[in-house]
Amino acid sequence: MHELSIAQNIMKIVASSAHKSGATSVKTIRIRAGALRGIVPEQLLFLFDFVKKETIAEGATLEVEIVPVKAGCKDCQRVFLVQNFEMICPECQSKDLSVISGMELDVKEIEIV
Amino acid sequence: MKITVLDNILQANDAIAAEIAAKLAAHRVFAINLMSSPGAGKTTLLERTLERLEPKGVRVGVIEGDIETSRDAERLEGFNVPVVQINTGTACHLDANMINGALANLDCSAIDLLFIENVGNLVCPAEFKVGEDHKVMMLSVAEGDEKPLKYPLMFRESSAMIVNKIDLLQHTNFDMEEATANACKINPKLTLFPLSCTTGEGLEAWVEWVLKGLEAKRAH
Repeated sequence: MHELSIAQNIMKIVASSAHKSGATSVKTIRIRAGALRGIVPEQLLFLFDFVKKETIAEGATLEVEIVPVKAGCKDCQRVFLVQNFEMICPECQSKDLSVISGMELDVKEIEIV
Repeated sequence: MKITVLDNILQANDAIAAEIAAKLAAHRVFAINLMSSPGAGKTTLLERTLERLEPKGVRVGVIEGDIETSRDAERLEGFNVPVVQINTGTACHLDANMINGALANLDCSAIDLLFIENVGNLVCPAEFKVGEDHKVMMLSVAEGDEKPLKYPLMFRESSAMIVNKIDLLQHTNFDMEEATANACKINPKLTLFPLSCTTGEGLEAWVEWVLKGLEAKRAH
Protein backbone atom coordinates (compact mmCIF):
# COMPACT_ATOMS: atom_id res chain seq x y z
CA MET A 1 0.00 0.00 0.00
CA HIS A 2 1.05 3.63 -0.32
CA GLU A 3 2.94 2.97 -3.49
CA LEU A 4 2.75 6.68 -4.34
CA SER A 5 4.57 7.85 -1.22
CA ILE A 6 7.01 4.98 -1.68
CA ALA A 7 7.61 6.10 -5.27
CA GLN A 8 8.22 9.65 -4.04
CA ASN A 9 10.63 8.46 -1.35
CA ILE A 10 12.51 6.35 -3.91
CA MET A 11 12.81 9.44 -6.11
CA LYS A 12 14.27 11.48 -3.25
CA ILE A 13 16.86 8.82 -2.43
CA VAL A 14 17.79 8.31 -6.08
CA ALA A 15 18.08 12.04 -6.81
CA SER A 16 20.29 12.53 -3.77
CA SER A 17 22.53 9.60 -4.64
CA ALA A 18 22.77 10.52 -8.33
CA HIS A 19 23.62 14.17 -7.66
CA LYS A 20 26.22 13.19 -5.07
CA SER A 21 27.91 11.00 -7.68
CA GLY A 22 27.84 13.75 -10.31
CA ALA A 23 25.57 11.76 -12.65
CA THR A 24 23.90 13.32 -15.70
CA SER A 25 21.13 10.74 -15.72
CA VAL A 26 19.94 7.55 -14.04
CA LYS A 27 19.55 4.46 -16.20
CA THR A 28 18.32 1.85 -13.73
CA ILE A 29 17.01 1.77 -10.17
CA ARG A 30 16.88 -1.49 -8.25
CA ILE A 31 14.79 -1.74 -5.11
CA ARG A 32 14.10 -4.60 -2.73
CA ALA A 33 10.68 -5.07 -1.20
CA GLY A 34 10.13 -7.87 1.29
CA ALA A 35 6.97 -9.87 0.66
CA LEU A 36 5.70 -8.97 4.15
CA ARG A 37 5.46 -5.29 3.12
CA GLY A 38 2.61 -5.97 0.70
CA ILE A 39 3.97 -3.78 -2.11
CA VAL A 40 2.29 -4.29 -5.48
CA PRO A 41 5.11 -3.95 -8.09
CA GLU A 42 2.82 -3.08 -11.03
CA GLN A 43 1.24 -0.25 -9.08
CA LEU A 44 4.64 1.02 -7.94
CA LEU A 45 6.03 0.97 -11.48
CA PHE A 46 2.94 2.74 -12.80
CA LEU A 47 3.16 5.51 -10.20
CA PHE A 48 6.93 5.86 -10.44
CA ASP A 49 6.51 6.65 -14.16
CA PHE A 50 4.71 9.84 -13.10
CA VAL A 51 7.01 10.70 -10.26
CA LYS A 52 10.21 10.44 -12.33
CA LYS A 53 9.08 12.90 -15.03
CA GLU A 54 11.37 15.92 -15.45
CA THR A 55 13.92 14.57 -13.03
CA ILE A 56 17.40 13.10 -13.34
CA ALA A 57 15.70 9.67 -13.40
CA GLU A 58 13.29 10.50 -16.22
CA GLY A 59 14.59 7.74 -18.46
CA ALA A 60 15.25 5.23 -15.72
CA THR A 61 13.85 1.72 -15.46
CA LEU A 62 12.67 0.71 -12.01
CA GLU A 63 13.29 -2.91 -11.09
CA VAL A 64 11.49 -4.33 -8.06
CA GLU A 65 12.91 -7.42 -6.42
CA ILE A 66 10.41 -9.07 -4.10
CA VAL A 67 12.30 -10.74 -1.29
CA PRO A 68 10.56 -13.89 -0.06
CA VAL A 69 9.77 -14.39 3.61
CA LYS A 70 12.41 -16.62 5.11
CA ALA A 71 12.34 -17.69 8.75
CA GLY A 72 14.62 -19.65 11.04
CA CYS A 73 13.28 -22.02 13.67
CA LYS A 74 14.82 -21.39 17.08
CA ASP A 75 14.02 -24.92 18.19
CA CYS A 76 15.27 -27.15 15.36
CA GLN A 77 17.37 -24.53 13.46
CA ARG A 78 15.56 -25.26 10.20
CA VAL A 79 15.59 -22.33 7.76
CA PHE A 80 12.58 -22.25 5.45
CA LEU A 81 10.41 -20.15 3.16
CA VAL A 82 7.21 -19.02 4.87
CA GLN A 83 4.00 -19.93 2.99
CA ASN A 84 0.87 -17.75 3.23
CA PHE A 85 2.48 -15.68 6.02
CA GLU A 86 2.01 -18.63 8.38
CA MET A 87 4.69 -18.51 11.05
CA ILE A 88 5.13 -22.16 11.90
CA CYS A 89 8.13 -24.46 11.39
CA PRO A 90 7.34 -27.12 8.76
CA GLU A 91 9.78 -29.46 10.46
CA CYS A 92 8.87 -29.37 14.16
CA GLN A 93 5.75 -27.13 14.20
CA SER A 94 7.42 -24.67 16.57
CA LYS A 95 6.19 -21.09 16.52
CA ASP A 96 9.40 -19.74 17.99
CA LEU A 97 10.87 -18.28 14.83
CA SER A 98 13.06 -15.41 13.73
CA VAL A 99 12.32 -13.61 10.47
CA ILE A 100 15.47 -13.68 8.32
CA SER A 101 14.08 -11.86 5.29
CA GLY A 102 10.81 -10.39 4.05
CA MET A 103 10.64 -7.00 5.76
CA GLU A 104 13.08 -5.09 3.55
CA LEU A 105 12.12 -1.90 1.77
CA ASP A 106 15.19 -0.23 0.33
CA VAL A 107 16.83 1.22 -2.72
CA LYS A 108 19.57 -1.32 -3.35
CA GLU A 109 21.53 0.34 -6.16
CA ILE A 110 21.31 2.64 -9.15
CA GLU A 111 23.04 2.70 -12.52
CA ILE A 112 24.04 6.16 -13.66
CA VAL A 113 25.51 7.80 -16.73
CA MET B 1 28.29 2.96 -13.48
CA LYS B 2 26.65 1.19 -10.57
CA ILE B 3 26.19 2.95 -7.23
CA THR B 4 25.29 0.93 -4.17
CA VAL B 5 22.69 2.84 -2.19
CA LEU B 6 21.08 0.56 0.44
CA ASP B 7 18.83 3.31 1.79
CA ASN B 8 15.66 2.39 3.65
CA ILE B 9 12.76 3.83 1.67
CA LEU B 10 10.79 4.73 4.79
CA GLN B 11 13.83 6.23 6.51
CA ALA B 12 12.30 9.69 6.79
CA ASN B 13 9.31 8.37 8.74
CA ASP B 14 11.41 5.93 10.77
CA ALA B 15 13.88 8.64 11.75
CA ILE B 16 11.09 10.81 13.16
CA ALA B 17 9.57 7.76 14.87
CA ALA B 18 12.93 7.10 16.55
CA GLU B 19 13.05 10.72 17.76
CA ILE B 20 9.55 10.34 19.19
CA ALA B 21 10.48 7.07 20.90
CA ALA B 22 13.53 8.76 22.43
CA LYS B 23 11.47 11.71 23.67
CA LEU B 24 8.86 9.41 25.22
CA ALA B 25 11.58 7.26 26.80
CA ALA B 26 13.21 10.32 28.31
CA HIS B 27 9.91 11.09 30.05
CA ARG B 28 9.25 7.39 30.73
CA VAL B 29 5.96 7.53 28.84
CA PHE B 30 4.51 4.17 27.73
CA ALA B 31 2.89 4.54 24.33
CA ILE B 32 0.29 2.32 22.69
CA ASN B 33 -0.78 2.71 19.04
CA LEU B 34 -4.36 1.43 18.87
CA MET B 35 -5.60 0.29 15.44
CA SER B 36 -8.67 -1.37 14.02
CA SER B 37 -11.32 -1.14 11.31
CA PRO B 38 -13.80 1.73 11.65
CA GLY B 39 -16.42 0.91 14.29
CA ALA B 40 -14.59 -1.96 16.03
CA GLY B 41 -14.69 0.03 19.28
CA LYS B 42 -11.38 1.88 19.77
CA THR B 43 -12.84 5.01 21.35
CA THR B 44 -15.21 3.00 23.55
CA LEU B 45 -12.27 0.89 24.68
CA LEU B 46 -10.42 4.07 25.62
CA GLU B 47 -13.43 5.26 27.62
CA ARG B 48 -13.66 1.95 29.51
CA THR B 49 -9.88 1.88 30.04
CA LEU B 50 -9.71 5.47 31.30
CA GLU B 51 -12.53 4.70 33.78
CA ARG B 52 -10.33 1.98 35.24
CA LEU B 53 -7.02 3.84 35.13
CA GLU B 54 -8.16 7.12 36.68
CA PRO B 55 -8.76 5.69 40.17
CA LYS B 56 -5.26 4.16 40.06
CA GLY B 57 -3.71 7.59 39.53
CA VAL B 58 -2.27 6.80 36.11
CA ARG B 59 -1.80 10.01 34.13
CA VAL B 60 -2.98 9.39 30.58
CA GLY B 61 -2.65 11.44 27.41
CA VAL B 62 -4.47 10.69 24.14
CA ILE B 63 -3.76 11.53 20.54
CA GLU B 64 -6.85 11.01 18.40
CA GLY B 65 -6.52 10.42 14.67
CA ASP B 66 -9.47 10.79 12.31
CA ILE B 67 -9.96 11.95 8.76
CA GLU B 68 -12.61 14.43 9.89
CA THR B 69 -14.36 15.70 13.05
CA SER B 70 -13.31 15.92 16.65
CA ARG B 71 -16.07 13.56 17.80
CA ASP B 72 -13.68 11.09 19.39
CA ALA B 73 -11.85 13.80 21.30
CA GLU B 74 -15.20 15.19 22.45
CA ARG B 75 -16.22 11.79 23.79
CA LEU B 76 -13.18 11.80 26.06
CA GLU B 77 -13.83 15.31 27.39
CA GLY B 78 -15.48 13.98 30.54
CA PHE B 79 -12.19 12.42 31.65
CA ASN B 80 -9.46 14.54 33.11
CA VAL B 81 -6.95 13.75 30.36
CA PRO B 82 -5.19 15.90 27.75
CA VAL B 83 -6.44 14.96 24.28
CA VAL B 84 -4.98 16.18 21.00
CA GLN B 85 -7.12 15.58 17.91
CA ILE B 86 -5.42 15.18 14.53
CA ASN B 87 -7.60 15.55 11.44
CA THR B 88 -5.71 13.99 8.58
CA GLY B 89 -8.03 15.32 5.89
CA THR B 90 -7.16 12.67 3.35
CA ALA B 91 -4.52 10.45 4.95
CA CYS B 92 -5.84 7.04 5.95
CA HIS B 93 -3.29 6.48 8.71
CA LEU B 94 -1.17 8.37 11.20
CA ASP B 95 2.54 8.74 10.50
CA ALA B 96 5.47 9.84 12.63
CA ASN B 97 5.39 13.39 11.32
CA MET B 98 1.77 13.85 12.43
CA ILE B 99 2.46 12.41 15.89
CA ASN B 100 5.48 14.66 16.26
CA GLY B 101 3.26 17.64 15.50
CA ALA B 102 0.66 16.47 18.03
CA LEU B 103 3.30 16.01 20.74
CA ALA B 104 4.11 19.71 20.50
CA ASN B 105 0.69 20.20 22.12
CA LEU B 106 1.13 17.60 24.84
CA ASP B 107 3.21 17.94 28.00
CA CYS B 108 5.08 14.62 28.13
CA SER B 109 6.33 15.32 31.64
CA ALA B 110 2.70 15.37 32.83
CA ILE B 111 1.71 11.91 31.55
CA ASP B 112 2.72 8.30 32.18
CA LEU B 113 0.78 6.61 29.42
CA LEU B 114 -0.01 7.74 25.87
CA PHE B 115 -2.75 6.19 23.77
CA ILE B 116 -2.59 6.94 20.07
CA GLU B 117 -5.97 6.12 18.56
CA ASN B 118 -5.22 5.57 14.89
CA VAL B 119 -7.52 6.17 11.94
CA GLY B 120 -10.01 3.32 11.48
CA ASN B 121 -8.28 1.17 8.86
CA LEU B 122 -7.10 -2.45 8.90
CA VAL B 123 -4.39 -1.89 6.27
CA CYS B 124 -2.26 1.24 6.34
CA PRO B 125 -1.63 2.08 10.00
CA ALA B 126 0.36 -1.15 10.36
CA GLU B 127 3.00 0.14 7.97
CA PHE B 128 4.01 3.22 9.90
CA LYS B 129 6.07 3.41 13.04
CA VAL B 130 5.11 6.41 15.13
CA GLY B 131 7.43 5.91 18.09
CA GLU B 132 5.10 3.65 20.06
CA ASP B 133 6.10 0.88 22.48
CA HIS B 134 3.38 -1.40 21.20
CA LYS B 135 0.94 -1.62 18.36
CA VAL B 136 -2.36 -3.07 19.60
CA MET B 137 -5.07 -4.01 17.17
CA MET B 138 -8.74 -4.59 17.76
CA LEU B 139 -11.09 -6.92 15.91
CA SER B 140 -14.80 -7.08 16.67
CA VAL B 141 -16.73 -10.35 16.42
CA ALA B 142 -18.94 -8.91 13.66
CA GLU B 143 -15.92 -8.65 11.36
CA GLY B 144 -15.14 -12.33 10.83
CA ASP B 145 -12.64 -14.81 12.24
CA GLU B 146 -10.61 -15.07 9.02
CA LYS B 147 -9.38 -11.47 9.10
CA PRO B 148 -5.88 -12.35 10.43
CA LEU B 149 -5.24 -14.32 7.25
CA LYS B 150 -6.58 -11.53 5.03
CA TYR B 151 -4.65 -8.70 6.70
CA PRO B 152 -1.39 -10.32 7.77
CA LEU B 153 0.71 -7.18 8.24
CA MET B 154 -1.69 -5.65 10.79
CA PHE B 155 -1.67 -8.82 12.86
CA ARG B 156 2.07 -9.37 12.48
CA GLU B 157 3.00 -5.90 13.65
CA SER B 158 0.78 -5.97 16.74
CA SER B 159 1.79 -7.13 20.20
CA ALA B 160 -1.78 -7.65 21.34
CA MET B 161 -5.13 -8.32 19.72
CA ILE B 162 -8.36 -7.32 21.39
CA VAL B 163 -11.45 -9.22 20.31
CA ASN B 164 -14.30 -6.86 21.11
CA LYS B 165 -18.08 -7.24 21.29
CA ILE B 166 -18.01 -10.80 22.66
CA ASP B 167 -21.47 -10.04 24.03
CA LEU B 168 -22.64 -10.39 20.41
CA LEU B 169 -21.07 -13.82 19.81
CA GLN B 170 -24.38 -15.63 19.82
CA HIS B 171 -25.60 -13.40 16.97
CA THR B 172 -22.61 -13.96 14.70
CA ASN B 173 -20.81 -16.93 13.16
CA PHE B 174 -17.52 -15.81 14.69
CA ASP B 175 -15.55 -18.80 15.94
CA MET B 176 -13.19 -17.68 18.73
CA GLU B 177 -10.99 -20.76 18.41
CA GLU B 178 -10.68 -20.26 14.67
CA ALA B 179 -9.84 -16.56 15.08
CA THR B 180 -7.24 -17.40 17.74
CA ALA B 181 -5.69 -20.10 15.57
CA ASN B 182 -5.60 -17.79 12.54
CA ALA B 183 -4.06 -14.95 14.51
CA CYS B 184 -1.41 -17.23 16.01
CA LYS B 185 -0.53 -18.61 12.57
CA ILE B 186 0.39 -15.09 11.46
CA ASN B 187 1.88 -13.97 14.78
CA PRO B 188 2.54 -16.64 17.42
CA LYS B 189 3.54 -13.93 19.91
CA LEU B 190 0.15 -12.16 19.89
CA THR B 191 -1.56 -11.86 23.28
CA LEU B 192 -5.33 -12.06 22.86
CA PHE B 193 -7.92 -10.18 24.93
CA PRO B 194 -11.49 -11.24 24.23
CA LEU B 195 -13.71 -8.64 25.87
CA SER B 196 -16.86 -6.59 25.72
CA CYS B 197 -16.79 -2.83 26.19
CA THR B 198 -20.57 -3.02 26.68
CA THR B 199 -20.76 -5.57 29.50
CA GLY B 200 -17.23 -5.04 30.89
CA GLU B 201 -16.31 -8.72 30.56
CA GLY B 202 -12.60 -9.27 29.94
CA LEU B 203 -11.57 -5.64 30.49
CA GLU B 204 -9.56 -6.33 33.65
CA ALA B 205 -7.07 -8.57 31.83
CA TRP B 206 -6.52 -5.85 29.20
CA VAL B 207 -6.00 -3.13 31.82
CA GLU B 208 -3.58 -5.45 33.69
CA TRP B 209 -1.53 -5.85 30.51
CA VAL B 210 -1.38 -2.10 30.03
CA LEU B 211 -0.33 -1.53 33.66
CA LYS B 212 2.38 -4.20 33.43
CA GLY B 213 3.78 -2.53 30.32
CA LEU B 214 3.69 0.84 32.03
CA GLU B 215 5.51 -0.54 35.07
CA ALA B 216 8.18 -2.10 32.90
CA LYS B 217 8.70 1.18 31.01
CA ARG B 218 9.05 3.19 34.20
CA ALA B 219 11.49 0.68 35.67
CA HIS B 220 14.05 1.51 32.97
